[in-house]
Amino acid sequence: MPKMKTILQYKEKALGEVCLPWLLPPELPQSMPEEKAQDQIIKMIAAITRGTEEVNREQQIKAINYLLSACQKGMKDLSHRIRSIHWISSQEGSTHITPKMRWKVHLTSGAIPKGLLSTSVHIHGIPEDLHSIDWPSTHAVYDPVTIYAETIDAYSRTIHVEERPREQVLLDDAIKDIKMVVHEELDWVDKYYEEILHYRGNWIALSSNGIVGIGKNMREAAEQARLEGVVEPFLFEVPTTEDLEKVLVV
Amino acid sequence: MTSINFSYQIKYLSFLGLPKRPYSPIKLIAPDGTSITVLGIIDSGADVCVFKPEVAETLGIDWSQGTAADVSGIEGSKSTAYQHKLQLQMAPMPSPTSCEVLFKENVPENLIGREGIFDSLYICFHQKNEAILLELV
Repeated sequence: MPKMKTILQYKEKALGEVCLPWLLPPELPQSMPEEKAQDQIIKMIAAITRGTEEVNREQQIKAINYLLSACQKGMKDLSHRIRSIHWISSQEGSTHITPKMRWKVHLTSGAIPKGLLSTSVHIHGIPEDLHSIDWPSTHAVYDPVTIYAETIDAYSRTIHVEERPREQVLLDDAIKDIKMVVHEELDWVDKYYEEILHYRGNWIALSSNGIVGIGKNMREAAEQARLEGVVEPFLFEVPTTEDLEKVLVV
Repeated sequence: MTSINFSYQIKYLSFLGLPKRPYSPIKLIAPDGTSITVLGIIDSGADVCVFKPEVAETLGIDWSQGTAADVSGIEGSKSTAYQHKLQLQMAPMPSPTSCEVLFKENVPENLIGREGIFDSLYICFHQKNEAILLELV
């Protein structure tokens, strides 16, 4: 049986990144009724993206055929799920799948924003360049934590997928090394914090030398600052106690 | 593979006791060169920067003489704002950028929207660490 492995979990949502070791038969039915196929493929996609179900060979074949059909016809009803289908084949235009045919499908799950790729299904026969930009860039959309190693066993006609740490530094780990933007203005606020709190409800003009203007409005505070020779003051209103209880900003 | 290495971060700020939010100082330069720095909230959902009218008045700009523009917020109701061209600079931008901004009454905070600022900076909200990550475009 094909072996499925979930290789990406997107937060707590039931989204998975699954690579199926598609085993291609020598011959496949050319087509199937679209209405049945559509149900089938949606179930397939659900199974793929959840990574919770195994799909049998027949389902795979139907799904592949339907995807090919959808690809060729540019079907709209699946466009929200099929992000793109890259058809790379020496027999372009044929709906027959052959071992030499190379193609891959990017699918989206309905649970994520349109335009993001959630699942890449690589079919046996894709180019040997398994580390093309498509894989990491697809995954990078979702999760910087995980990257995949993928190999094809040409003899058993299977694809092995394994999870491994991403080579680049993880954002969560790296954040401590990202330097802070120096905001002199905010440093001043920290420095003169106690003094500033005496002016709740007023506007303050600050320079590196401290408070250079106080006013009932911004303009008053700025004018005082300019009289002090500060041409570019940092202006802010000291929040009142009521301000501190304001509702959340949306 | 394309990746971005963020070089800068700003911690969410609990400004003088206000709820912790992604505030940043932003410098505004009027056409006559008058310059002030005010505090704004980085708002990726705002198409443009929106400032309180008093910001315009402090810069010596008659805000209501700008180009009238209909704006709608999250609540969906439409109102009028006035568009002016200013220069804006937010750290770590090395120099100011010229862009259209709106002045509008009854905005609770100055909003640092996408036009101009997000054109100059890659901005990532790292909620877990309560930080904004920044990189120059």
